[in-house]
Amino acid sequence: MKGAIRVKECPSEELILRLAQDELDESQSRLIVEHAESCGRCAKLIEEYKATFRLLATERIEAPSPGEWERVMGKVRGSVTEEMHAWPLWARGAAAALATACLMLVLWQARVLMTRPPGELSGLAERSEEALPSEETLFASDTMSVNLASLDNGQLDELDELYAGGTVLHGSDALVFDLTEEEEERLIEELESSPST
Amino acid sequence: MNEREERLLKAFLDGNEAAFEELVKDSWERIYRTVMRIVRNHDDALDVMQDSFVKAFTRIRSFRRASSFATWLTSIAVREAINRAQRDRFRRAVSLHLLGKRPSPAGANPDALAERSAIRERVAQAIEALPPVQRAVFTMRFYEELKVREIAELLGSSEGAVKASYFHAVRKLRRNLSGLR
Repeated sequence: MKGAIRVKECPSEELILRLAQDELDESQSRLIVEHAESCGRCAKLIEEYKATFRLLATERIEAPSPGEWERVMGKVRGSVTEEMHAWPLWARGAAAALATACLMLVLWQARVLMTRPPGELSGLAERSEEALPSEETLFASDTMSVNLASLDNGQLDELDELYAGGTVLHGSDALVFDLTEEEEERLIEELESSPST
Repeated sequence: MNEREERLLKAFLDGNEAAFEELVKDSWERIYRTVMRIVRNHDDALDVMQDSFVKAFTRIRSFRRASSFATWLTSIAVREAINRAQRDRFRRAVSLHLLGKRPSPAGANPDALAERSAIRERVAQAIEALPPVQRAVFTMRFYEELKVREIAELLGSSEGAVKASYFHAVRKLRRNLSGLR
């Protein structure tokens, strides 16, 4: 039988623990007690466990006051209300995904604008080193591109004047305003024939 | 589940939120004692109670009625308490003996009071020294007198593991309290 012991053998510590806690049936308890009468080690162990349980039983826990319970339940009510009004998990996930997608789209657009060669962008002035001799007319500076879409009418008129008079244009860049080939050639000729300053 | 729990649970699921408080009230003192013995700190115990109640409220529709509502709630609270104790195991907890201090009775022998206080402190320290899971198992078995099978269910563990945890816990306590006997 499981748990059965003979008087001459020392019982396991677990059985002694259960004896000290009054968890064994009468026959098992009697066998261990009889054994302990002739075994100092087991007798000491039984006494130690009984004393340990007596000490542990002295620990008392005081219940919280009604006021403390009320505070806890108040916080529970608050948290539950918040949870009930919060977006469901799937909606929060969808909103986060949408926001991420928008951000990535903006970053992608910015990257395209920053890395695309000027020739691929309509309305941008582009460099044309070979079309014009160096120190010839150019628009504003030899490193700058201008997005015409960002200019207002006044600024466009000013640009027209500048490129017609050629007085403030220097360097080797030309303006290409989405011109046809013929218009571009005419423009280059005009620029080349304009007096240098 | 008993009849009262069934009735309150049905009322809650039908939209009567006050019924939840009634359900919880039935067992909160017992759950508090268990939680307090695991986390060893009054404020932490109240936090654990609060978190457990919120979890129970939000998950109540998944409660399958395999056990009583009180057992289900205890299971949530004990797991929360073990997690909290494991998370804060390096933080010095306020010992129970300080929280349980009551005014000394008039005419009490100061030496006897001091001795009792020292014993309480040693007992509290010995329990605090147990790992959180062993402390939880010991608390439920020794103080709450739950059966090994019930504890195994509460912790989602095997009966063998619970028996082993309890045995190791009591053996450590016997050794740590040896000087007091």
